[in-house]
Amino acid sequence: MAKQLITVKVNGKKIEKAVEPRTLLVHFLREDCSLTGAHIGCDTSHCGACTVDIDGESVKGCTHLAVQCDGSEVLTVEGLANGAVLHAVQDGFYKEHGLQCGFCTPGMLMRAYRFLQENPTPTEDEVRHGMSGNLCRCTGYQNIIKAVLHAAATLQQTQKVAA
Amino acid sequence: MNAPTDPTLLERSAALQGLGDSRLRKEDARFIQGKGNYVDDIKLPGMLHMDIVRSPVAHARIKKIDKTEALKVPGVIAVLTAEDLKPLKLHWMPTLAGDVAAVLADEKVHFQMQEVAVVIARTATRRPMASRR
Repeated sequence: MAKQLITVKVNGKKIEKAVEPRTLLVHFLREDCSLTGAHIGCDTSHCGACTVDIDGESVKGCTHLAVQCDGSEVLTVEGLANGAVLHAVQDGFYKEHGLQCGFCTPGMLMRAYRFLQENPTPTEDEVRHGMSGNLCRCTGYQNIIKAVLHAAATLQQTQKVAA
Repeated sequence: MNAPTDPTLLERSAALQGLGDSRLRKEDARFIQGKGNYVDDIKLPGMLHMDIVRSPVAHARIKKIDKTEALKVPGVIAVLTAEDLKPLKLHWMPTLAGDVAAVLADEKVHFQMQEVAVVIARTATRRPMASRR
């Protein structure tokens, strides 16, 4: 199969790679970029474990082809922290025990990251709806919701301080 | 969840010497940064990948499994069925319940999604297989 050259900015780093047109974004990230944070949970776009951010939108990595991301900016869980400083959503999940086995966590974090930019002051109900595309088999949803609300509060606090 | 900030609670916590306190988990640091290293994340030199071909029907006799198309796919090393396991006496294996179970469907499929064949390839990308029964 003829390979196609794509240029994608992944976590701020420009990556140029020839990929088969059928390569899924999640396979591209995991195999070609060695970024195994995004997981393949179901391969059917149900679970959201492969959720990443493309040009400011949450996308399930198994529903996108790598070639569709040519010229795009992709953010994965590996690029969430600023050096040694965790992002507020990561800190929220840590402090509120928002994970058990951790498999769904990268997808949850990436969705929470985008969701809190779409809605910086969500109610608990809005968090539940906003995160509904991500499944957790440990069924730790209560703490996941708490974690996202925790992160929302932290982000609001930071904004207030900055203002 | 979070460490208490209320002074009376702090005093109580100290007196209990850790009892009744929830602890933040040590392992979370890697999980929240995408550094979990799950089985699917592990890469070893010379590693091969296996994909399972499952039965779409709940009950059927296997007349024939045609491997030729599957073996033509680049990177595919082997396609195994019960017929291949038979000479090795590996086609029926003991289970924890003390009985035996078919590793791959042996002449007959007994339930939907039963394992019928495995495709072994150099890359993890799913290899389609032309199977006919």
